[in-house]
Amino acid sequence: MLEVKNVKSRWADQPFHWHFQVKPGDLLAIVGTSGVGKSTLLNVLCGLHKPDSGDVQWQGDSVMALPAHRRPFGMLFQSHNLFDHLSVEVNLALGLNPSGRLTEAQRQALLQAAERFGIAGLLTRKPYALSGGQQQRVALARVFLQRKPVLLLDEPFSSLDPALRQEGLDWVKDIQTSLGTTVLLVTHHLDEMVSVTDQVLLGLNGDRWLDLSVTEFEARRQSGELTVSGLSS
Amino acid sequence: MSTFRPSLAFGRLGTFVLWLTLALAALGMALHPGQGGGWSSYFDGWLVRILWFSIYQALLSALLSLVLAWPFALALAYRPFRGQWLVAGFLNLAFVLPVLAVVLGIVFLFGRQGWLPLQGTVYGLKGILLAHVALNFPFAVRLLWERLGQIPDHQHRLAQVLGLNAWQRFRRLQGPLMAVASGPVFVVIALLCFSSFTVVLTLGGGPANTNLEVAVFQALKYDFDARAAALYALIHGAIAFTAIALLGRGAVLSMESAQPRRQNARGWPTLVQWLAIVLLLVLLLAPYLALINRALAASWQWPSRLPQALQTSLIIAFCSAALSVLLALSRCMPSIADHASARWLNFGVLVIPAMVMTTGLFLLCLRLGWARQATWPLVIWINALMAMPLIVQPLTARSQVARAQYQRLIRVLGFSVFQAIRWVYWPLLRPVLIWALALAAVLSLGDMGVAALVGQVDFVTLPLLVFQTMGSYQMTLAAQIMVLLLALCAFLLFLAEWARGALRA
Repeated sequence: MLEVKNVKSRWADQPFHWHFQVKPGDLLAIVGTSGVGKSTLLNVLCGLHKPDSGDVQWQGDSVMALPAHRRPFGMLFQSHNLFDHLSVEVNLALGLNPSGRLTEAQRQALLQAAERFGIAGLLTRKPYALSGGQQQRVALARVFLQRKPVLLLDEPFSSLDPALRQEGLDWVKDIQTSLGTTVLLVTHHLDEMVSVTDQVLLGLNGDRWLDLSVTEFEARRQSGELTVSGLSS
Repeated sequence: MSTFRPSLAFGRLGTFVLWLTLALAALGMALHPGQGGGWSSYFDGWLVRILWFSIYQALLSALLSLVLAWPFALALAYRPFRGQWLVAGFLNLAFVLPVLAVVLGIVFLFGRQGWLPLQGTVYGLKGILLAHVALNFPFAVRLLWERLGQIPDHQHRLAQVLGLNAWQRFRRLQGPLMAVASGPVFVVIALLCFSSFTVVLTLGGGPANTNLEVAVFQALKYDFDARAAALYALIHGAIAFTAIALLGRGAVLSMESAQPRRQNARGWPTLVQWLAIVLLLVLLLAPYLALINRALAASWQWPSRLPQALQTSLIIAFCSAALSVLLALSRCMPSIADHASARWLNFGVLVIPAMVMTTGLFLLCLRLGWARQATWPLVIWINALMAMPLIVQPLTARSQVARAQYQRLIRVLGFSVFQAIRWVYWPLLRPVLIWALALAAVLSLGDMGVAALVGQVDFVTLPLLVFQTMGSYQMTLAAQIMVLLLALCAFLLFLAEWARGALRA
């Protein structure tokens, strides 16, 4: 279980407050207008931004004292998920070991992951020479290799066209089902993914968030009780 | 997160070293080992005369440079054109190449046997003004051109729609901007000429044409009057500081952003622009052509001290370039570069006359009895300081881009400092570092003032050798040695541009 307990933070003079839980293996969609604190939440969780108070626990253990790379979270940002000047292979290897040196077993895992994500033929290429879809598969292959139990996705596919976005989502779904990964995903395209979502976290305000199951969310939206801005379909 | 941050420590070390240098220079002036008469005996007619000459020639040089720069800046800024980076590159040339090359060029152009001999002699105020204008008007053209280039496109379109003719456009658009921009450019050039040493020393032609810098040199080298040197340097520093204060904050920052903006050039230069470019190149290159022409006039012969001078120059250039890059790197650490005070300190190091700093440090060494041992470290260090402000900006810009793009990824992947350097900063900064090294080396190769002031009799660099050769009226030989020095600089600049090209690829 991922438990976010009364985490409070201030960022650019705005107060934030989060309190919710996610069951292991579930997919949580995080929605709301821009500036409501979706990215800030993920940055707090993965350890890039230190909150003022509160606790984050995974399987009952607090992660607050851990540095970003020791936390059980894999993270993909909106952009710059790959080092443009390093080859795809080095980019993948750095996910396994920051020194870039791999054991034989790690090398095999890397090659298998490359095979799985259809990038085996691109290992010597540099990311800037890849298409947007290829780049997202390299980034996903890296978090797949890291075997982190929780995946934090800050709209990594938002700049892609709908077909590629759907492809990215399929890959996430693939990782989620094959590894049992818990996924937290910030999105502006909830309608494209209602079918795969278990739970929705809706930011109304920096310190007001609704934590709903996807059926409850849909029901309240249908009834007109909820108007969600910042979503496009 | 650990509490010790290497980048912060490195950045603070750089700041500390800069302040320490300034403090030691001030201390040196206070503790100067001079005897001599009372302080009041120095405030005499001689001081008034050199003060007057320092200011007079500086204002006149700045005014002439600016007036000459106006038409060129207007023509070049008329509209962006293809290949303007090349023209901008030529404008930078006089700023980085050895000052002595221009001095020799002026002598060969306007001297008695020159292409355009002047009435009377080239030595004196006329020669000083010619050299200062040759050195600084390209700088003025570049700055004004950049400012005029900042007129937004839509204003030009508006002017077109309103049917303003060239004159009306000048009155409404370029003119007012030019007037605003000219003030700071004038002050900066006046300041550079006020602090001019090499030109005044070599072209002054007599005690009548002595400025404060040369007076410091004479006091130290010929009169052994340390107190006079300290006093002149102090006055010099005070006047320079006042001028910077008058410049104001906004002007300082606008000077700083003096890096070429990459505009999308739409077409070839217009006829007027072609004329301006050709005329500009003729003016820019004439001194160098005259120099090369003179060097080729006789068969090449190398003096016996040349190998030693070459070796000394190269060692000093590369040591000071390496130090300068290290210092610049420390200035672009994230915790340092973001502070406005850091920019002030960088700018301060750029405009505080190097000779004032040198004098202070040298006086301190004299006082401590280290004058002989201090020659190499002092020359290397001060040259590194002088080059730092000129290379710090591209380094800062590049490292800030790298940080903005990859800092989060670096933390999420758990890189150590060394891994971050190995995987991110080194590969991304390498081309800029090579460029910075080469440029700093060129600047230091061309310096004569610091070496002349600090060096003992047996200390000889290439520019010093040229100076001594000029002193014994072997002008052709001086030209030949200078051509060798220029070739060295050209090779390094080529290397620098090649590195920058690799960066763009």
